[in-house]
Amino acid sequence: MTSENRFLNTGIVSIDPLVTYTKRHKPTPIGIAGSCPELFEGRSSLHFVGPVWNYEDHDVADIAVHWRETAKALPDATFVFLNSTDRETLALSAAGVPAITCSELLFVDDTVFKPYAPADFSGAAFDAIYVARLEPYKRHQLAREIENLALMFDARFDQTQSAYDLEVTRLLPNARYLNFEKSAGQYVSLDPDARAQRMNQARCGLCLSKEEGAMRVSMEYLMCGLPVVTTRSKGGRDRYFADPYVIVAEDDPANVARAVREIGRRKLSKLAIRDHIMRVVSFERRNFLSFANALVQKQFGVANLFSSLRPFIESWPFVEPEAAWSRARLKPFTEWLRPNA
Amino acid sequence: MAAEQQFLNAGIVSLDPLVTYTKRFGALPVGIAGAVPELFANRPSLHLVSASWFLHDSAVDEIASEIRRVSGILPQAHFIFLAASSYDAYRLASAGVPSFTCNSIIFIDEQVFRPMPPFDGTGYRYDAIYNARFETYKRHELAARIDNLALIYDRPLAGGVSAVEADVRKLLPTAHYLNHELGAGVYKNLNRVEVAQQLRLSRCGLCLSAEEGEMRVAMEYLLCGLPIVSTQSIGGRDRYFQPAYAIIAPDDPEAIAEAVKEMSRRRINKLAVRDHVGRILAHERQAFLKGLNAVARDVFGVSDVFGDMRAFIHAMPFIAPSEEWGRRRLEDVARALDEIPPRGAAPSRQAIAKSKVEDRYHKLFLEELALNGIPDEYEPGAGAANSSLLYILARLMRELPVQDVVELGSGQTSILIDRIRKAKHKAFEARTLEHDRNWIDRIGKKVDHRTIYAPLRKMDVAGHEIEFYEIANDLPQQIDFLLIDGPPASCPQTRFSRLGAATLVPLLGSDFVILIDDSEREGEQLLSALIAERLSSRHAGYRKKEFHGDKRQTVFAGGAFADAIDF
Repeated sequence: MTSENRFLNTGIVSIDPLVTYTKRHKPTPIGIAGSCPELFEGRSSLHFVGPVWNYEDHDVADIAVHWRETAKALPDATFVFLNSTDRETLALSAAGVPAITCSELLFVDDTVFKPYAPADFSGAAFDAIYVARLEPYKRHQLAREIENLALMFDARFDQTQSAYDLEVTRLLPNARYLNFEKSAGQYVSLDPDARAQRMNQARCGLCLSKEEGAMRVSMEYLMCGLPVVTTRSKGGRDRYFADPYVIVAEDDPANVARAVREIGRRKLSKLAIRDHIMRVVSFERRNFLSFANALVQKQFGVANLFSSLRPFIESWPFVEPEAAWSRARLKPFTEWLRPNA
Repeated sequence: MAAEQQFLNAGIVSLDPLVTYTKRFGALPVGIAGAVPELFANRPSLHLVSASWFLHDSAVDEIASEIRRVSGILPQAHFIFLAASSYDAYRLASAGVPSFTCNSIIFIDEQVFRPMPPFDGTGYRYDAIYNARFETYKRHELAARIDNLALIYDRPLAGGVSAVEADVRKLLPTAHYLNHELGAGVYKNLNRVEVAQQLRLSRCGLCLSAEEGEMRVAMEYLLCGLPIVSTQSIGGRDRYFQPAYAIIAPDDPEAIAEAVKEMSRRRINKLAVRDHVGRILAHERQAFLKGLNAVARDVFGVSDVFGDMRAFIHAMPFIAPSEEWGRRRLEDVARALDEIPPRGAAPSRQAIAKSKVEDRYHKLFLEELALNGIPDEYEPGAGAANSSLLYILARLMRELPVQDVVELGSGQTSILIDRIRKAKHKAFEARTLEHDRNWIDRIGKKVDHRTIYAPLRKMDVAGHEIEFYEIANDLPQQIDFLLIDGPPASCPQTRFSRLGAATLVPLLGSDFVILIDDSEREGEQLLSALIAERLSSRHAGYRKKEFHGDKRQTVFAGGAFADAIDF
């Protein structure tokens, strides 16, 4: 039985048998089982752990130490680290950490991020769209020579403005800040459907950071049928980039703007880009599904637990045990674990 | 730069930097590096290895063990085991084998195996074709109900007709034995182009074994646009099988024949199969090159060693050092390598930054030597004591009134301890423990203090089963300086071997220093944690500091020695 929604929102992709998919981030360095081992004591469990950023050498050493400690504390648990790149998989495997390459970009929801007409970009409202948090590593300044640019971003949780926010508005005064339109100048968070609709109004999507995680937005663009202009990067987003629907531009505003114009000139079709990327994604999804089910069979003796990747696509893999919102989401799970407590 | 064909024929896909791609089979558990390590001595090398058969668990263990063995002989060799599937990659990683997923059937030449006209569904001569050796595991009998079957096969090495072939001919009397039909009754070997030409005449390709390797023929079928009828299998061939162009049928001749008929009814377009598989192939190749080039940059400091797949497509990864033809090919490689000076890895930015810090430590170490009145007879570097370790050791031993020094593992630090002891008129006792008899004999000739042969014995420390020094009555009652640089702990299997040093904490005096080398490593980090825990539990106040040169050192200092680490 795979998870109902109330468990998916805390990274439980199957409740019985117990399978989690959570992230390595500060509150949970090796996912939920490492930070809340008491929830998994005395029962068999399988834990997929994904990254939020690319791994350096110290990450590999930290993961190895943490994983070993947790594996000793939870002898009935099995872990697999899902990496964005083969280089990271090689480093973890050399350290004896169970790991495979499986990009989280496979878990982007292709039923939400999909092409909207017109397929040939005619009448596109924007030359380019950049969906990116207002953080310095996102390097918004590289977009400053794009003539008709749209921006979307998630606001900070506390809704404050940072110096970088103001810097972006200074650098990109003519950009369309889509989170503020249709809301009388107030910031509004756009849900995935709204984001997909707005992406579809652009001729291309931008990826401008030098280093980050796999960058889910890059796959959202591609699933919407948008080509991409990117800079060289570390973190794994380039796994799905290929000619002719991606241009890798040098790290300066003139080259980025030139690449945007070039990609606009190519007679690309949203449907062709979507078709191509979904063939590749479907191929990788099938193989990951086969792997996940093989592990489940080995761990629990249950065949074909996952008939699709929907639980992974729909789950919210971030757990923060110290935060009230995350504890609230964990409550149904803790109650399920100990119904008579 | 990719290698020329003569080197590709020996599995050398790049001569400089030196990269190999060979197969695990027979007497070569991890390919060429284990078979002829002398070819790779004294230079960095990168070895890609793929399996020629499904990896059972015992094979995974053997690979892990063999890589450890070869890594001991070739410390500059790096391995990547190419896993046929994610599940294999997971099992290999769990055993500490450096690996990632790359099914080697992506190395098939897509320019040779491609669809040929007609593309309109006409001109087929066979309902199914099976390109398979006459071996029992190929299960030709499952094709017995197919009406119009073609077979391609190898000739037995000994010539004639093997027992298996004879059985197959009885089971499949009406099949087209193409190697004989095209040879006018005599066996004719078909080259790849000729095989591709025969494939185009078939409606589908067969894969009937239950277990084998990745099965290159499966990708040859697909690249020629043939859909596939296969049985369930292990070995990796199913990675590229997808509906609608692949049917997985039960292990039964009737079911196989029915699947062949179904595939014929589907009238699958060859160009559509080729287009789809071609995109997947391009994607997997791109991912492989990215991963490989990233690793090569780490190993050699060279970017983009491989610009394309040509070397892997044209390499011959099966080598045979025991055969005359195999030896000749390797001699060519050896002669070519003699012409190429060993390359050190070009420093990365991180390495350059590290080496600036290391330079500073080296200068400070030379100053310490001068303060101690000791000549410079040291060569800090990879695999030996580095400058930060030598400096920390020299400074602490000069400044502190140590009485009893214990060193775990011998090397340049043993010599430094001896020289400082003599400079201080033998004001302290020192003991160096070493498990390697040859090493202890050599060091013993160079130093005056006690050098103790301490073989390794199994013990359990903090839940880890390790091998640590057998320490009888060799140690002082109170150690005030403990240097931890042994036993060897650089391989996955030995990474925790230094945890045994934590058992020496009770022997520390109230004034003490513990100096741990290589503390950037996982095992040493755990050791630090254990030491901290044990110091706390004996209510010994202490201070801890880390030093970052080319390697990291961690120092614990307590009692009157605690403030000595403020430098």
